[in-house]
Amino acid sequence: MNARAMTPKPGTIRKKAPGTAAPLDPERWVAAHGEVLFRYARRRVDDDAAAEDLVQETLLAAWRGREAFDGRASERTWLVAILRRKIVDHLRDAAAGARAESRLARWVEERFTEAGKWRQGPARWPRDQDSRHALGAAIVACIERLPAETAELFLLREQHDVPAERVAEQTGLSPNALAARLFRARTALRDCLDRTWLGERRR
Amino acid sequence: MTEPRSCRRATARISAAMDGPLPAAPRLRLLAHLACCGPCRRYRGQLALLRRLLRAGEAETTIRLSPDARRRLVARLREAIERG
Repeated sequence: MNARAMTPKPGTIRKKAPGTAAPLDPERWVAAHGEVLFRYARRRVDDDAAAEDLVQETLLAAWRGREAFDGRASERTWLVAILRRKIVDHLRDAAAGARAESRLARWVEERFTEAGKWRQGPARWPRDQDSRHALGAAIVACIERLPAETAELFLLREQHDVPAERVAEQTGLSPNALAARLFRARTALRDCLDRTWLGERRR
Repeated sequence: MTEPRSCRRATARISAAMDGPLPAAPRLRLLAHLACCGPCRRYRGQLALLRRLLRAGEAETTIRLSPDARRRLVARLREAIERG
């Protein structure tokens, strides 16, 4: 892992930007800060795609504003500050979270027929050690696909064992609203595992 | 059974029962449904398994930037830098 290595690789842009001390190499930037910025963004926004966009906007804004970077703060601190402003702007569009949740609600209803029967029931899950070993990683990936707030509620309840009443209290959700969100999260996560973890082995 | 066989309702009750005891009537209807519905039994078993794994710490919930996302970021940045 040479995340910070400056050795030029083929295809790497080494052109020094005028007025900047360090060569701005996107590969190095993404290697050195991409993960941290993405994780930071992903904890605060709805989904992977939104977080990726925010990181991209941040790095682009940083590139455009590179003259303003005085080198007193670390590069990381400077980038995180820009990202934070981008996140605030993004969250101001509070409708985005609501849209993600209503898409999920619609998706859940589509799992069932008008009469309420499964269109396609849950797949059988393998029990062998190898499959089970891969399940952990698949769960993580599937949780990340949930709307951010719903994922948070789900983890409070399922992973951290916070009683439902407490989760409702802390989030200001009614018990019914919380129950609906947890139901959607569980249903979506389970279904996601059928598609990703089992993949083509399904049925 | 007089009640229509609703898996949609049964699954919502299975989920609710993971967060607190159901009132007697819905609980009995859920049990009756489960007695004759394999897919809903499987749904319940899988949700219980997921809870066990999450609480046992088998799913490390650390957020990672995927290699694809990384490539996209680098490509877009390069483009922007080349444009100046």
